[in-house]
Amino acid sequence: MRLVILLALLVSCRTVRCPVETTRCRGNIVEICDTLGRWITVEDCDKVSKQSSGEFTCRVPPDAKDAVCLPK
Amino acid sequence: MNPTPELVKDFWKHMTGVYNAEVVDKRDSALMNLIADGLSALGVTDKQAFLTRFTTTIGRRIYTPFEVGVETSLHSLWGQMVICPHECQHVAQLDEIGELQFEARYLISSMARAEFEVAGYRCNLEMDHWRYGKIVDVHELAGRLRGYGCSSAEISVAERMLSIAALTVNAGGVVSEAFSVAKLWLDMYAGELREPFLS
Repeated sequence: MRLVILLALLVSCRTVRCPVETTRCRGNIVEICDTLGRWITVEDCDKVSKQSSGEFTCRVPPDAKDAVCLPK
Repeated sequence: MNPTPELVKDFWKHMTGVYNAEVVDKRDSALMNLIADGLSALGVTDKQAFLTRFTTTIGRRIYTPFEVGVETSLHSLWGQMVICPHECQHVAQLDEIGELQFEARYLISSMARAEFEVAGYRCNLEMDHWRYGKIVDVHELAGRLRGYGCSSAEISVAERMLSIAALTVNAGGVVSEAFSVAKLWLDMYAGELREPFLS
């Protein structure tokens, strides 16, 4: 029984790591997977929009592999 | 056209005023010498390089290895202007997540250190793009993280982050908060530094 509980705890505590260096759009934020397997922010496209003269959105351009903030 | 010593001083005065930061000469600082010894002992960076090449921000104090507005063989006047928003971006990070967390993460985690420095390097990239209309070599820029004790894998992630920023900057985006502050001033007072085709 103790073994079952211990295994259940180990499974529930296991964190899901992302593939290092992959990128994605989370809402309007560009994220990259760091070497620890965590998603970290690269660019906040809303912030870029406020600081620039146009509106920027997070997307993966055709024929590219990375998410990026680009003009709408 | 190259920046004048007065322009460099005015730029630093403006930026440090906005970020409520203070410039301290690194070479005169006992604290910096102590930190250089510590970082050298930990194998993070070489003592001499730390004291003569790197500008360091702790809290709201920016420790420069040069006197602002005085050109040296290691620190050109434009180089001094480029490093200013970089360091102010660290102050902005500190304001965003809190001084204790910023300093702790910076010291403990080399990945976090790479992430914080990338935010600064984005300012370098944007400053050079503003002046020359070109994107600097992001591979070289990310490679500087070796001097901060970052691994090859961390440097590779950093380079990818800078490449993404470069795409946004090339598309006309202003990515860094500190550069957005700098750009307003530069457009107003230093437009003559830009390549003629950009004006």
